[in-house]
Amino acid sequence: MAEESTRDDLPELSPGRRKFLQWLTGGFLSLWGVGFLWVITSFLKPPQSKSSIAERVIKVGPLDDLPVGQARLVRRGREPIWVIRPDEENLVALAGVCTHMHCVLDWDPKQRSLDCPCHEGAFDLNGNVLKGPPPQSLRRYRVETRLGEIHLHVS
Amino acid sequence: MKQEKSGALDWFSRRLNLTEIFSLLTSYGVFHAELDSRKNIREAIAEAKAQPMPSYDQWPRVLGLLAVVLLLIEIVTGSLLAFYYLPTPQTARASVATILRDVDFGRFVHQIHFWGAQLLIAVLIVRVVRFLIRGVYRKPRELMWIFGVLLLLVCFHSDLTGKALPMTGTAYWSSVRALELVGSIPIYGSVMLFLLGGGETVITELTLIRFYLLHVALLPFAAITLIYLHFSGVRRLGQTETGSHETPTRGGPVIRIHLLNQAILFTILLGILVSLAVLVPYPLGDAADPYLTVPGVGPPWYLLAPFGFMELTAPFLPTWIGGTILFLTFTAFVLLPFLPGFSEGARSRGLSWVIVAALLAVWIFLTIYGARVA
Repeated sequence: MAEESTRDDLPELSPGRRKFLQWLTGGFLSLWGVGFLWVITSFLKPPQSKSSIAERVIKVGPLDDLPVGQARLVRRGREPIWVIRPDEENLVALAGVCTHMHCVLDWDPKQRSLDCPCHEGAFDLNGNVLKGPPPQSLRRYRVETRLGEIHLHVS
Repeated sequence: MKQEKSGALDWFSRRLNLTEIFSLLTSYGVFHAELDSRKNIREAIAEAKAQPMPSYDQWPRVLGLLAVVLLLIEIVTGSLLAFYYLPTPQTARASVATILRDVDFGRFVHQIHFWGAQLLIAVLIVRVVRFLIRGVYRKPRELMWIFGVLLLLVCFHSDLTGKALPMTGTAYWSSVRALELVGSIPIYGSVMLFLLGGGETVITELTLIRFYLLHVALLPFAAITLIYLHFSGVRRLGQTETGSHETPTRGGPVIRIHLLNQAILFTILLGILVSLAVLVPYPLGDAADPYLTVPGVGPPWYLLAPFGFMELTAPFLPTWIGGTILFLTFTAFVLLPFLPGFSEGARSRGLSWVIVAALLAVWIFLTIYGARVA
Protein backbone atom coordinates (compact mmCIF):
# COMPACT_ATOMS: atom_id res chain seq x y z
CA MET A 1 0.00 0.00 0.00
CA ALA A 2 2.73 2.44 1.05
CA GLU A 3 4.84 2.03 -2.06
CA GLU A 4 1.71 2.30 -4.15
CA SER A 5 1.16 5.83 -2.87
CA THR A 6 4.67 6.96 -3.73
CA ARG A 7 4.06 6.08 -7.38
CA ASP A 8 1.26 8.55 -7.23
CA ASP A 9 2.07 11.68 -9.13
CA LEU A 10 -1.24 13.26 -8.35
CA PRO A 11 -0.82 16.56 -6.50
CA GLU A 12 0.47 15.91 -3.02
CA LEU A 13 -2.28 15.90 -0.41
CA SER A 14 -1.76 16.40 3.28
CA PRO A 15 -2.50 13.20 5.25
CA GLY A 16 -5.45 14.79 7.02
CA ARG A 17 -7.03 15.88 3.79
CA ARG A 18 -6.43 12.52 2.13
CA LYS A 19 -8.00 10.74 5.07
CA PHE A 20 -11.01 13.06 4.97
CA LEU A 21 -11.51 12.45 1.25
CA GLN A 22 -11.23 8.69 1.73
CA TRP A 23 -13.78 8.91 4.53
CA LEU A 24 -16.06 10.95 2.29
CA THR A 25 -15.80 8.42 -0.56
CA GLY A 26 -16.47 5.54 1.81
CA GLY A 27 -19.46 7.33 3.30
CA PHE A 28 -20.88 8.09 -0.12
CA LEU A 29 -20.52 4.49 -1.24
CA SER A 30 -22.11 3.22 1.99
CA LEU A 31 -25.09 5.51 1.36
CA TRP A 32 -25.50 3.80 -2.01
CA GLY A 33 -25.38 0.42 -0.28
CA VAL A 34 -27.94 1.46 2.34
CA GLY A 35 -30.22 2.77 -0.40
CA PHE A 36 -30.07 -0.46 -2.40
CA LEU A 37 -30.65 -2.56 0.71
CA TRP A 38 -33.63 -0.40 1.64
CA VAL A 39 -35.24 -0.76 -1.80
CA ILE A 40 -34.62 -4.52 -1.90
CA THR A 41 -35.88 -5.25 1.62
CA SER A 42 -39.02 -3.16 1.21
CA PHE A 43 -39.67 -4.88 -2.11
CA LEU A 44 -39.33 -8.32 -0.54
CA LYS A 45 -41.73 -7.51 2.31
CA PRO A 46 -45.02 -9.12 1.22
CA PRO A 47 -47.76 -6.53 0.70
CA GLN A 48 -50.40 -6.33 3.44
CA SER A 49 -53.71 -7.15 1.86
CA LYS A 50 -56.34 -4.96 3.44
CA SER A 51 -59.34 -7.24 3.84
CA SER A 52 -62.77 -5.85 3.03
CA ILE A 53 -65.82 -6.26 5.27
CA ALA A 54 -66.91 -9.19 3.14
CA GLU A 55 -63.64 -10.92 3.91
CA ARG A 56 -63.88 -10.19 7.65
CA VAL A 57 -67.24 -11.94 8.01
CA ILE A 58 -67.51 -15.60 7.00
CA LYS A 59 -70.86 -17.22 6.37
CA VAL A 60 -70.61 -20.66 7.92
CA GLY A 61 -74.02 -21.97 6.82
CA PRO A 62 -77.56 -22.34 8.21
CA LEU A 63 -77.86 -22.79 11.97
CA ASP A 64 -80.20 -25.72 11.43
CA ASP A 65 -77.42 -27.69 9.73
CA LEU A 66 -75.36 -27.65 12.94
CA PRO A 67 -76.99 -29.94 15.54
CA VAL A 68 -76.59 -29.22 19.25
CA GLY A 69 -73.38 -30.68 20.61
CA GLN A 70 -71.72 -30.70 17.19
CA ALA A 71 -68.98 -28.49 15.79
CA ARG A 72 -67.80 -27.48 12.37
CA LEU A 73 -64.29 -26.65 11.20
CA VAL A 74 -64.19 -23.45 9.17
CA ARG A 75 -61.19 -22.97 6.87
CA ARG A 76 -60.08 -19.41 6.45
CA GLY A 77 -57.01 -19.42 4.25
CA ARG A 78 -54.51 -21.52 6.14
CA GLU A 79 -56.26 -20.79 9.45
CA PRO A 80 -58.76 -23.33 10.88
CA ILE A 81 -61.51 -22.08 13.21
CA TRP A 82 -63.92 -24.31 15.16
CA VAL A 83 -67.56 -23.19 15.36
CA ILE A 84 -69.25 -25.14 18.17
CA ARG A 85 -72.93 -25.31 19.16
CA PRO A 86 -72.84 -26.37 22.84
CA ASP A 87 -76.62 -25.87 23.40
CA GLU A 88 -79.77 -24.61 21.69
CA GLU A 89 -79.04 -20.93 22.41
CA ASN A 90 -75.33 -20.38 22.08
CA LEU A 91 -72.54 -20.61 19.57
CA VAL A 92 -68.83 -20.57 20.32
CA ALA A 93 -65.98 -19.96 17.87
CA LEU A 94 -62.44 -20.87 18.84
CA ALA A 95 -59.14 -20.95 17.03
CA GLY A 96 -58.51 -24.46 15.78
CA VAL A 97 -54.77 -24.55 16.33
CA CYS A 98 -53.14 -25.77 19.54
CA THR A 99 -51.06 -23.08 21.24
CA HIS A 100 -48.36 -25.64 22.01
CA MET A 101 -46.99 -27.01 18.71
CA HIS A 102 -49.61 -25.72 16.26
CA CYS A 103 -51.34 -29.04 15.61
CA VAL A 104 -54.96 -28.77 14.43
CA LEU A 105 -57.42 -29.60 17.24
CA ASP A 106 -60.23 -32.19 17.10
CA TRP A 107 -63.74 -31.72 18.55
CA ASP A 108 -64.65 -34.37 21.08
CA PRO A 109 -68.49 -34.37 21.38
CA LYS A 110 -68.49 -36.68 24.44
CA GLN A 111 -66.07 -34.68 26.57
CA ARG A 112 -67.21 -31.43 24.95
CA SER A 113 -63.61 -30.38 24.58
CA LEU A 114 -61.11 -29.60 21.84
CA ASP A 115 -58.33 -32.20 21.93
CA CYS A 116 -54.89 -31.97 20.49
CA PRO A 117 -53.84 -35.14 18.64
CA CYS A 118 -50.13 -34.41 19.10
CA HIS A 119 -49.45 -34.11 22.85
CA GLU A 120 -52.77 -34.86 24.55
CA GLY A 121 -53.59 -31.26 25.30
CA ALA A 122 -57.25 -30.29 25.70
CA PHE A 123 -59.25 -27.05 25.84
CA ASP A 124 -62.72 -26.34 27.21
CA LEU A 125 -65.48 -24.35 25.53
CA ASN A 126 -64.06 -21.07 26.79
CA GLY A 127 -60.72 -21.88 25.21
CA ASN A 128 -59.01 -22.52 28.55
CA VAL A 129 -56.44 -25.28 28.91
CA LEU A 130 -57.91 -28.40 30.56
CA LYS A 131 -54.80 -30.54 30.55
CA GLY A 132 -51.54 -31.15 28.77
CA PRO A 133 -48.69 -28.93 27.66
CA PRO A 134 -50.37 -25.95 25.89
CA PRO A 135 -49.06 -22.71 27.43
CA GLN A 136 -51.94 -20.39 26.46
CA SER A 137 -55.67 -20.51 26.06
CA LEU A 138 -57.29 -20.43 22.62
CA ARG A 139 -58.30 -17.26 20.87
CA ARG A 140 -62.08 -16.68 20.76
CA TYR A 141 -63.93 -15.23 17.77
CA ARG A 142 -67.24 -13.42 17.68
CA VAL A 143 -69.97 -15.53 16.11
CA GLU A 144 -73.67 -14.73 15.67
CA THR A 145 -76.80 -15.83 13.85
CA ARG A 146 -78.43 -13.56 11.32
CA LEU A 147 -81.64 -14.72 9.62
CA GLY A 148 -80.85 -18.28 10.59
CA GLU A 149 -77.34 -18.20 9.13
CA ILE A 150 -74.15 -18.42 11.17
CA HIS A 151 -71.81 -15.45 10.66
CA LEU A 152 -68.26 -15.71 11.93
CA HIS A 153 -66.34 -12.46 12.55
CA VAL A 154 -62.64 -12.84 11.96
CA SER A 155 -59.83 -10.23 12.32
CA MET B 1 -7.78 -4.54 11.83
CA LYS B 2 -5.75 -4.76 8.64
CA GLN B 3 -3.72 -7.65 10.04
CA GLU B 4 -6.81 -9.67 10.87
CA LYS B 5 -8.31 -9.16 7.44
CA SER B 6 -5.20 -10.41 5.69
CA GLY B 7 -5.19 -13.39 8.05
CA ALA B 8 -8.63 -14.41 6.85
CA LEU B 9 -7.53 -13.93 3.25
CA ASP B 10 -4.56 -16.22 3.84
CA TRP B 11 -6.78 -18.78 5.56
CA PHE B 12 -9.00 -18.99 2.48
CA SER B 13 -6.04 -18.72 0.14
CA ARG B 14 -4.57 -21.94 1.54
CA ARG B 15 -7.86 -23.74 0.85
CA LEU B 16 -9.18 -22.21 -2.38
CA ASN B 17 -7.57 -20.90 -5.51
CA LEU B 18 -8.64 -17.34 -4.78
CA THR B 19 -6.62 -15.96 -7.68
CA GLU B 20 -8.62 -18.02 -10.15
CA ILE B 21 -11.93 -16.92 -8.61
CA PHE B 22 -10.74 -13.32 -8.61
CA SER B 23 -9.63 -13.67 -12.21
CA LEU B 24 -13.04 -15.04 -13.21
CA LEU B 25 -14.90 -12.19 -11.52
CA THR B 26 -12.65 -9.43 -12.78
CA SER B 27 -12.98 -10.80 -16.30
CA TYR B 28 -16.20 -8.83 -16.50
CA GLY B 29 -14.46 -5.59 -17.28
CA VAL B 30 -12.28 -4.77 -14.27
CA PHE B 31 -8.85 -5.91 -15.41
CA HIS B 32 -8.19 -6.70 -18.99
CA ALA B 33 -4.79 -8.27 -18.39
CA GLU B 34 -4.43 -12.00 -17.88
CA LEU B 35 -3.82 -12.90 -14.24
CA ASP B 36 -1.47 -15.73 -13.33
CA SER B 37 -3.66 -18.07 -11.30
CA ARG B 38 -0.64 -19.98 -9.94
CA LYS B 39 0.43 -16.92 -7.98
CA ASN B 40 -0.81 -15.96 -4.55
CA ILE B 41 -3.81 -13.66 -4.72
CA ARG B 42 -2.01 -10.74 -3.11
CA GLU B 43 0.86 -11.03 -5.54
CA ALA B 44 -1.50 -11.33 -8.51
CA ILE B 45 -3.49 -8.26 -7.50
CA ALA B 46 -0.34 -6.21 -6.85
CA GLU B 47 0.96 -7.22 -10.25
CA ALA B 48 -2.28 -6.32 -11.97
CA LYS B 49 -2.43 -2.99 -10.17
CA ALA B 50 1.10 -2.12 -11.19
CA GLN B 51 0.38 -2.67 -14.87
CA PRO B 52 -0.42 0.40 -16.88
CA MET B 53 -3.89 -0.06 -18.27
CA PRO B 54 -5.81 2.06 -20.68
CA SER B 55 -9.24 2.37 -19.18
CA TYR B 56 -12.26 0.60 -20.62
CA ASP B 57 -14.17 3.70 -19.68
CA GLN B 58 -13.32 5.55 -22.78
CA TRP B 59 -15.61 6.04 -25.66
CA PRO B 60 -16.37 3.80 -27.53
CA ARG B 61 -14.92 0.89 -25.55
CA VAL B 62 -17.32 1.77 -22.76
CA LEU B 63 -20.03 -0.17 -24.59
CA GLY B 64 -18.97 -3.63 -23.42
CA LEU B 65 -18.77 -2.45 -19.82
CA LEU B 66 -22.17 -0.75 -20.11
CA ALA B 67 -23.61 -4.04 -21.33
CA VAL B 68 -22.17 -5.83 -18.28
CA VAL B 69 -23.59 -3.24 -15.88
CA LEU B 70 -27.01 -3.29 -17.56
CA LEU B 71 -27.07 -7.08 -17.53
CA LEU B 72 -26.26 -6.99 -13.80
CA ILE B 73 -29.13 -4.55 -13.20
CA GLU B 74 -31.45 -6.84 -15.20
CA ILE B 75 -30.41 -9.86 -13.15
CA VAL B 76 -30.97 -8.08 -9.82
CA THR B 77 -34.34 -6.52 -10.73
CA GLY B 78 -35.43 -9.70 -12.52
CA SER B 79 -34.69 -11.83 -9.45
CA LEU B 80 -36.74 -9.41 -7.37
CA LEU B 81 -39.70 -9.61 -9.76
CA ALA B 82 -39.50 -13.42 -9.74
CA PHE B 83 -40.37 -13.36 -6.01
CA TYR B 84 -43.94 -12.39 -6.92
CA TYR B 85 -44.52 -13.45 -10.52
CA LEU B 86 -46.70 -16.55 -11.11
CA PRO B 87 -46.16 -18.05 -14.58
CA THR B 88 -49.57 -19.37 -15.60
CA PRO B 89 -51.94 -17.67 -18.08
CA GLN B 90 -54.59 -17.26 -15.38
CA THR B 91 -52.39 -15.72 -12.69
CA ALA B 92 -49.64 -13.94 -14.63
CA ARG B 93 -51.28 -10.58 -15.15
CA ALA B 94 -52.76 -10.46 -11.64
CA SER B 95 -49.36 -11.16 -10.09
CA VAL B 96 -47.73 -8.40 -12.16
CA ALA B 97 -50.56 -6.06 -11.14
CA THR B 98 -49.86 -6.94 -7.50
CA ILE B 99 -46.20 -6.04 -8.00
CA LEU B 100 -47.12 -2.70 -9.57
CA ARG B 101 -49.85 -1.76 -7.12
CA ASP B 102 -49.15 -3.32 -3.73
CA VAL B 103 -45.46 -4.10 -3.38
CA ASP B 104 -43.22 -1.30 -2.11
CA PHE B 105 -41.00 -0.06 -4.97
CA GLY B 106 -42.75 -2.64 -7.16
CA ARG B 107 -43.52 -0.21 -9.97
CA PHE B 108 -39.98 1.18 -9.74
CA VAL B 109 -38.29 -2.23 -9.97
CA HIS B 110 -40.59 -3.28 -12.82
CA GLN B 111 -39.89 -0.12 -14.83
CA ILE B 112 -36.13 -0.34 -14.24
CA HIS B 113 -36.26 -3.92 -15.51
CA PHE B 114 -38.14 -2.84 -18.65
CA TRP B 115 -35.99 0.19 -19.45
CA GLY B 116 -32.77 -1.61 -18.58
CA ALA B 117 -33.63 -4.19 -21.25
CA GLN B 118 -34.34 -1.51 -23.89
CA LEU B 119 -31.06 0.27 -23.08
CA LEU B 120 -29.17 -3.03 -23.14
CA ILE B 121 -30.43 -3.81 -26.63
CA ALA B 122 -29.67 -0.28 -27.84
CA VAL B 123 -26.13 -0.49 -26.42
CA LEU B 124 -25.54 -3.87 -28.07
CA ILE B 125 -26.77 -2.60 -31.44
CA VAL B 126 -24.41 0.40 -31.25
CA ARG B 127 -21.66 -2.04 -30.24
CA VAL B 128 -22.20 -4.22 -33.30
CA VAL B 129 -22.15 -1.11 -35.53
CA ARG B 130 -18.88 -0.08 -33.90
CA PHE B 131 -17.45 -3.56 -34.55
CA LEU B 132 -18.35 -3.10 -38.22
CA ILE B 133 -16.70 0.30 -38.44
CA ARG B 134 -13.55 -0.59 -36.49
CA GLY B 135 -13.16 -3.98 -38.16
CA VAL B 136 -13.55 -6.04 -34.99
CA TYR B 137 -14.11 -9.13 -37.12
CA ARG B 138 -10.77 -9.29 -38.86
CA LYS B 139 -8.19 -11.89 -37.95
CA PRO B 140 -7.63 -12.61 -35.04
CA ARG B 141 -10.90 -11.13 -33.75
CA GLU B 142 -13.38 -13.32 -35.68
CA LEU B 143 -14.81 -14.79 -32.48
CA MET B 144 -15.33 -11.36 -30.90
CA TRP B 145 -17.67 -10.48 -33.73
CA ILE B 146 -19.58 -13.75 -33.48
CA PHE B 147 -19.92 -13.45 -29.68
CA GLY B 148 -21.08 -9.84 -30.07
CA VAL B 149 -23.78 -10.67 -32.63
CA LEU B 150 -24.90 -13.77 -30.71
CA LEU B 151 -25.15 -11.71 -27.51
CA LEU B 152 -27.41 -9.27 -29.35
CA LEU B 153 -29.51 -12.21 -30.57
CA VAL B 154 -29.75 -13.62 -27.03
CA CYS B 155 -30.91 -10.25 -25.74
CA PHE B 156 -33.55 -9.99 -28.49
CA HIS B 157 -34.91 -13.33 -27.37
CA SER B 158 -34.76 -12.32 -23.70
CA ASP B 159 -36.78 -9.21 -24.41
CA LEU B 160 -39.29 -11.10 -26.58
CA THR B 161 -39.85 -13.81 -23.97
CA GLY B 162 -39.99 -11.22 -21.20
CA LYS B 163 -42.59 -9.08 -22.97
CA ALA B 164 -44.92 -12.11 -23.15
CA LEU B 165 -44.76 -12.85 -19.42
CA PRO B 166 -47.37 -10.34 -18.08
CA MET B 167 -50.02 -11.93 -20.37
CA THR B 168 -51.70 -8.63 -21.14
CA GLY B 169 -53.56 -8.22 -24.41
CA THR B 170 -50.61 -6.41 -25.98
CA ALA B 171 -48.13 -8.98 -24.67
CA TYR B 172 -50.25 -11.88 -25.87
CA TRP B 173 -50.90 -10.59 -29.37
CA SER B 174 -47.40 -9.26 -29.99
CA SER B 175 -46.03 -12.66 -28.94
CA VAL B 176 -48.42 -14.35 -31.35
CA ARG B 177 -47.21 -11.97 -34.07
CA ALA B 178 -43.58 -12.61 -33.18
CA LEU B 179 -44.11 -16.38 -33.22
CA GLU B 180 -45.69 -16.11 -36.65
CA LEU B 181 -42.76 -14.01 -37.90
CA VAL B 182 -40.32 -16.54 -36.45
CA GLY B 183 -42.39 -19.37 -37.91
CA SER B 184 -42.08 -17.95 -41.43
CA ILE B 185 -38.30 -18.51 -41.37
CA PRO B 186 -37.45 -22.01 -42.62
CA ILE B 187 -35.51 -24.43 -40.36
CA TYR B 188 -34.75 -21.89 -37.61
CA GLY B 189 -38.43 -21.05 -37.35
CA SER B 190 -39.65 -24.60 -37.04
CA VAL B 191 -36.90 -25.41 -34.50
CA MET B 192 -37.82 -22.35 -32.41
CA LEU B 193 -41.56 -23.04 -32.58
CA PHE B 194 -40.93 -26.63 -31.55
CA LEU B 195 -38.82 -25.52 -28.60
CA LEU B 196 -41.31 -22.85 -27.61
CA GLY B 197 -44.31 -25.11 -27.34
CA GLY B 198 -44.59 -27.94 -29.77
CA GLY B 199 -45.21 -25.90 -32.92
CA GLU B 200 -48.08 -23.83 -31.58
CA THR B 201 -48.36 -20.17 -32.40
CA VAL B 202 -50.78 -19.47 -29.56
CA ILE B 203 -49.74 -18.81 -25.97
CA THR B 204 -50.88 -21.61 -23.65
CA GLU B 205 -49.71 -22.79 -20.21
CA LEU B 206 -47.10 -24.88 -21.96
CA THR B 207 -45.78 -21.99 -24.02
CA LEU B 208 -45.80 -19.54 -21.14
CA ILE B 209 -43.73 -21.76 -18.85
CA ARG B 210 -41.21 -22.28 -21.66
CA PHE B 211 -40.99 -18.54 -22.25
CA TYR B 212 -40.50 -18.14 -18.51
CA LEU B 213 -37.75 -20.74 -18.24
CA LEU B 214 -35.94 -19.27 -21.25
CA HIS B 215 -36.29 -15.78 -19.83
CA VAL B 216 -35.12 -16.44 -16.26
CA ALA B 217 -32.61 -19.25 -16.70
CA LEU B 218 -31.33 -20.28 -20.11
CA LEU B 219 -30.98 -16.93 -21.88
CA PRO B 220 -29.34 -15.08 -18.94
CA PHE B 221 -26.88 -17.96 -18.61
CA ALA B 222 -26.11 -17.72 -22.32
CA ALA B 223 -25.62 -13.95 -22.04
CA ILE B 224 -23.26 -14.27 -19.05
CA THR B 225 -21.28 -16.93 -20.88
CA LEU B 226 -20.98 -14.90 -24.08
CA ILE B 227 -19.82 -11.80 -22.19
CA TYR B 228 -17.24 -13.88 -20.33
CA LEU B 229 -15.99 -15.38 -23.58
CA HIS B 230 -15.75 -11.92 -25.11
CA PHE B 231 -13.75 -10.46 -22.24
CA SER B 232 -11.44 -13.46 -22.04
CA GLY B 233 -10.80 -12.85 -25.73
CA VAL B 234 -9.91 -9.25 -24.88
CA ARG B 235 -7.48 -10.56 -22.23
CA ARG B 236 -5.77 -12.75 -24.77
CA LEU B 237 -5.66 -10.31 -27.70
CA GLY B 238 -5.56 -6.91 -26.03
CA GLN B 239 -7.91 -4.07 -26.72
CA THR B 240 -8.55 -2.62 -30.09
CA GLU B 241 -6.86 0.69 -30.71
CA THR B 242 -9.09 3.69 -30.47
CA GLY B 243 -7.17 5.52 -33.16
CA SER B 244 -5.06 7.99 -31.24
CA HIS B 245 -2.13 6.47 -29.39
CA GLU B 246 -3.32 7.33 -25.94
CA THR B 247 -1.23 7.51 -22.84
CA PRO B 248 -2.68 4.89 -20.58
CA THR B 249 -2.71 6.90 -17.39
CA ARG B 250 -2.84 10.39 -16.10
CA GLY B 251 -0.56 9.25 -13.29
CA GLY B 252 -1.34 7.50 -10.08
CA PRO B 253 -2.33 3.89 -9.57
CA VAL B 254 -4.23 3.24 -12.77
CA ILE B 255 -6.68 0.77 -11.40
CA ARG B 256 -7.95 3.40 -8.99
CA ILE B 257 -8.78 5.81 -11.81
CA HIS B 258 -10.35 2.95 -13.70
CA LEU B 259 -12.59 2.02 -10.74
CA LEU B 260 -13.50 5.66 -10.17
CA ASN B 261 -14.53 5.94 -13.82
CA GLN B 262 -16.66 2.85 -13.42
CA ALA B 263 -18.38 4.38 -10.40
CA ILE B 264 -19.10 7.57 -12.37
CA LEU B 265 -20.40 5.53 -15.31
CA PHE B 266 -22.65 3.50 -13.03
CA THR B 267 -24.05 6.63 -11.41
CA ILE B 268 -24.85 8.26 -14.76
CA LEU B 269 -26.43 5.08 -16.05
CA LEU B 270 -28.59 4.69 -12.98
CA GLY B 271 -29.64 8.32 -13.31
CA ILE B 272 -30.76 7.75 -16.90
CA LEU B 273 -32.58 4.54 -15.97
CA VAL B 274 -34.40 6.07 -13.01
CA SER B 275 -35.43 9.10 -15.10
CA LEU B 276 -36.84 6.88 -17.84
CA ALA B 277 -38.57 4.60 -15.33
CA VAL B 278 -40.24 7.51 -13.58
CA LEU B 279 -40.98 9.80 -16.53
CA VAL B 280 -41.86 7.32 -19.31
CA PRO B 281 -43.47 4.34 -17.54
CA TYR B 282 -44.32 1.31 -19.66
CA PRO B 283 -48.03 0.68 -19.07
CA LEU B 284 -49.54 -2.64 -18.03
CA GLY B 285 -52.46 -3.32 -20.35
CA ASP B 286 -55.64 -5.25 -19.75
CA ALA B 287 -55.64 -9.01 -19.41
CA ALA B 288 -55.25 -11.01 -22.60
CA ASP B 289 -58.35 -12.38 -24.28
CA PRO B 290 -57.51 -15.02 -26.90
CA TYR B 291 -60.83 -14.17 -28.62
CA LEU B 292 -60.17 -10.45 -28.91
CA THR B 293 -57.26 -9.20 -30.98
CA VAL B 294 -55.93 -5.91 -29.65
CA PRO B 295 -55.62 -3.37 -32.49
CA GLY B 296 -52.31 -1.71 -33.30
CA VAL B 297 -50.05 -4.41 -31.89
CA GLY B 298 -46.76 -4.63 -33.75
CA PRO B 299 -43.43 -6.30 -33.17
CA PRO B 300 -40.92 -4.61 -30.80
CA TRP B 301 -38.87 -1.72 -32.22
CA TYR B 302 -35.74 -3.75 -32.92
CA LEU B 303 -37.70 -6.28 -35.02
CA LEU B 304 -39.49 -3.66 -37.11
CA ALA B 305 -36.88 -3.96 -39.87
CA PRO B 306 -37.35 -7.70 -40.60
CA PHE B 307 -41.09 -7.23 -40.14
CA GLY B 308 -41.04 -4.33 -42.63
CA PHE B 309 -39.06 -6.46 -45.07
CA MET B 310 -41.63 -9.26 -44.86
CA GLU B 311 -44.48 -6.79 -45.37
CA LEU B 312 -42.69 -5.08 -48.24
CA THR B 313 -42.05 -8.33 -50.12
CA ALA B 314 -45.35 -9.97 -49.26
CA PRO B 315 -47.20 -8.85 -52.43
CA PHE B 316 -44.78 -10.48 -54.85
CA LEU B 317 -42.84 -13.12 -52.87
CA PRO B 318 -44.17 -16.18 -51.01
CA THR B 319 -43.60 -15.97 -47.26
CA TRP B 320 -41.09 -18.79 -47.14
CA ILE B 321 -38.84 -17.11 -49.72
CA GLY B 322 -38.87 -13.86 -47.75
CA GLY B 323 -38.11 -15.88 -44.59
CA THR B 324 -35.25 -17.66 -46.33
CA ILE B 325 -33.76 -14.35 -47.48
CA LEU B 326 -33.94 -13.04 -43.91
CA PHE B 327 -32.39 -16.21 -42.54
CA LEU B 328 -29.52 -16.21 -45.06
CA THR B 329 -28.87 -12.50 -44.51
CA PHE B 330 -28.64 -13.01 -40.78
CA THR B 331 -26.46 -16.12 -41.08
CA ALA B 332 -24.11 -14.22 -43.37
CA PHE B 333 -24.04 -11.39 -40.82
CA VAL B 334 -23.08 -13.75 -37.99
CA LEU B 335 -20.44 -15.49 -40.09
CA LEU B 336 -19.11 -12.23 -41.58
CA PRO B 337 -15.47 -12.94 -40.60
CA PHE B 338 -15.51 -16.16 -42.59
CA LEU B 339 -16.91 -14.69 -45.78
CA PRO B 340 -14.20 -14.52 -48.45
CA GLY B 341 -12.10 -11.39 -48.22
CA PHE B 342 -13.46 -10.09 -44.94
CA SER B 343 -11.01 -11.55 -42.47
CA GLU B 344 -7.84 -10.14 -44.04
CA GLY B 345 -6.83 -6.53 -44.14
CA ALA B 346 -5.52 -3.87 -41.80
CA ARG B 347 -6.50 -4.18 -38.17
CA SER B 348 -8.77 -1.47 -36.79
CA ARG B 349 -10.05 -0.72 -40.25
CA GLY B 350 -13.53 -1.95 -40.93
CA LEU B 351 -15.99 -1.62 -43.73
CA SER B 352 -15.87 1.70 -45.44
CA TRP B 353 -18.15 4.42 -44.13
CA VAL B 354 -20.20 4.28 -47.32
CA ILE B 355 -21.11 0.62 -46.90
CA VAL B 356 -21.89 0.98 -43.18
CA ALA B 357 -24.00 4.05 -43.90
CA ALA B 358 -25.82 2.18 -46.69
CA LEU B 359 -26.52 -0.80 -44.40
CA LEU B 360 -27.78 1.52 -41.65
CA ALA B 361 -29.94 3.41 -44.18
CA VAL B 362 -31.59 0.16 -45.35
CA TRP B 363 -32.17 -0.88 -41.75
CA ILE B 364 -33.66 2.48 -40.78
CA PHE B 365 -35.84 2.56 -43.91
CA LEU B 366 -37.20 -0.92 -43.19
CA THR B 367 -37.76 0.03 -39.55
CA ILE B 368 -39.76 3.11 -40.51
CA TYR B 369 -41.69 1.13 -43.10
CA GLY B 370 -42.35 -1.62 -40.56
CA ALA B 371 -43.51 0.93 -37.99
CA ARG B 372 -45.94 2.46 -40.51
CA VAL B 373 -47.55 -0.82 -41.54
CA ALA B 374 -47.56 -2.32 -38.02
